[in-house]
Amino acid sequence: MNLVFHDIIPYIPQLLSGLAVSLYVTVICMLAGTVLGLFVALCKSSKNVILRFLGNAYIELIRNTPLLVQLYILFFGLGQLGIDISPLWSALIGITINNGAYTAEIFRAGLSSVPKGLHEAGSALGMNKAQIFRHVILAPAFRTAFPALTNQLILLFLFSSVASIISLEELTYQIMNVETQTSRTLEITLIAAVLYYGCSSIFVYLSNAMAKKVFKW
Amino acid sequence: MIQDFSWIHIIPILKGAWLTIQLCFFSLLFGGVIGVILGLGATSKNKLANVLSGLYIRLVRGVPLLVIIFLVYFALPMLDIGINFSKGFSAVLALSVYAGAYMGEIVRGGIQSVPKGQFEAADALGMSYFQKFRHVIVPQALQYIIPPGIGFFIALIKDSSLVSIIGYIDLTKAGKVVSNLTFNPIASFLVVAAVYFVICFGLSKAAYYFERRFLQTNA
Amino acid sequence: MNIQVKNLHKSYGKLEVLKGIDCQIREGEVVCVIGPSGSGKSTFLRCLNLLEEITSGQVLIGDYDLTHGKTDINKVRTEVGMVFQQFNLFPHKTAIQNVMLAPVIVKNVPKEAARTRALELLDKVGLKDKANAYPGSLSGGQMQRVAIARALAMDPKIMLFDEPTSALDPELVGEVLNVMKDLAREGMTMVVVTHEMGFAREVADRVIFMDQGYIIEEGKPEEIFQAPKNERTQSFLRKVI
Repeated sequence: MNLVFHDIIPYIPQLLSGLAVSLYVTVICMLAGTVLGLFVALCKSSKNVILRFLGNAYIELIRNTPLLVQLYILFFGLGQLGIDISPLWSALIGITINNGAYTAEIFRAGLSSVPKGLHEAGSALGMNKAQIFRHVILAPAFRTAFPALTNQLILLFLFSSVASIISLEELTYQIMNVETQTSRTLEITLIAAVLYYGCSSIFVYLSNAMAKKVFKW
Repeated sequence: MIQDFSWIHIIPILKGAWLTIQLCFFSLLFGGVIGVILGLGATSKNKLANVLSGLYIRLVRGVPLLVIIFLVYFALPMLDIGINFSKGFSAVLALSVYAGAYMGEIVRGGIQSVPKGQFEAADALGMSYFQKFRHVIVPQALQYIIPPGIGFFIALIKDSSLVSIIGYIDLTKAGKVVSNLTFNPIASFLVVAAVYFVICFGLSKAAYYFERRFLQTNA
Repeated sequence: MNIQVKNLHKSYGKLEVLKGIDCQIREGEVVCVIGPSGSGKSTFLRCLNLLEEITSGQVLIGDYDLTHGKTDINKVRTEVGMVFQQFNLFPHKTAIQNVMLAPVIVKNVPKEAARTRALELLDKVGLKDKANAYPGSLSGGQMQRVAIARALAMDPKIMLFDEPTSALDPELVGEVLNVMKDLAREGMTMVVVTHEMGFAREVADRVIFMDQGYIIEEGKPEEIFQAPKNERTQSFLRKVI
């Protein structure tokens, strides 16, 4: 068995541009999804029945249906309603909405892991609810959630490949493209593994480095 | 010829759902077998088994499922052994390869959750490797394996939607076909989403009651 | 600032924890509350800054009526400091940040003034050199002293202590009690739920013995410790001393 890579060399720029799109989608959707998830987690732990119901419904609906179907509804559905939406925007919106449901659960777990005593200490010092949340609860909750968020980032990166099905020209799209052009299945497999696995490892490394910097306590 | 979306279109979608369930059942079965082997390998004292199991688990978990599906689909015909593999076979194979890695990780975690003293106690009683696992380790490890295993099965049902791209008529593909037929993607995919929801949500609720009822031993 | 408690009841569902507490604490008084676990003494203390909702009865802190719906409870809490058994320091903030936080965000004290005051307070509890340490790197005794400084930073008129030394290793209890003694000497109004009978005897102006949701007996420390009248007080003291 010998591996032949020279057929693939001309396609390197394509692969790299695909990788750039994948990373772009991943970073944007992680940031936006984190904000969304935090907001939903707050809804879910609120005392307002309607907010709680909406938060729950969103989380359950998203987590119990496939990302691909969600993207189809967004991409083809909006088209049916006469709204033209590009694959990139479909991916950014769809994956953010998907990601938000998962980060919401992560944050909910993080928030409920903060000892009751910290709430009480804040109260006893005369802080109001918003102040307690912002100054007392948020940082410890975020720290607890951080490993799960890192994990979610990697899952998000891998699953952003689903956007290739709605013809977003990201890494998987380009990998399949090169495979059809060259028929070098095994070589392409290796390249895909190296690129995806390599980037995931870099994510883990960066996130650990960030944790060290941010969580000095 | 454009048809209006109507209740008739529910039938192919439900057929697709049935195929999705079958697909996931067999994939979990084969993936489970792979997972047990990998889990044992990853926790064994044998260096080679250790390295190979770890490599498989990390590699497969490091690559998107979509890439695995494509590559299995493209690579199978290259074996060139005179057999025409069906799309269903490719789909089950790809999902089994994928499930194997995740189940392997779950089994490894389950075995490692059993306190070390249990292994030592079994060894001290002169049990063989097989006896040790059969009577001591597996019964205890199961409670750490079943809940995440069910969780993974539910995830697998959602993830299996990706085999629709190689043309296997699962639930998602059935929705795509109906959508193309009726030019009504919203209705088609909402129905598909609803069916996924019923299956996954129902399973997770059932699992929740099952776990509370039967897995309370060490809680 | 005086504390007046009238017929205070507290229930969790069907379980009644406080069954009608009446007591008065005058400004400058140091009162120790003792009693077996489950007697309701911590719950009583936590009713004084409304960490526990009051089921019925009346609690007056100075002119504030805690049981009156319109009272701004956060305003009252700036006047009533609390020290917890488990310290409850904010883990993501350094010692000095813990002390500064509430004055800055609740009382809008300028940061620099808050920092100067925080350093003074840390110095007072003997931890000036730990100002920039995170709680995770401090001993239990040090954490509790920071927690006391944190409560004092709000310039409270009253300090509540909820078993402040119960979570400490025995050799660390002394350093915390010493800080509390200083505070008592300076005339702070203090309510201390404690198992430290030595501290109660030495520092308290008055000792309250609680059991099963009632105040069974109260009086000067020498009365309670040397000549307890009630049989339950006697049996409790026999067990702990």
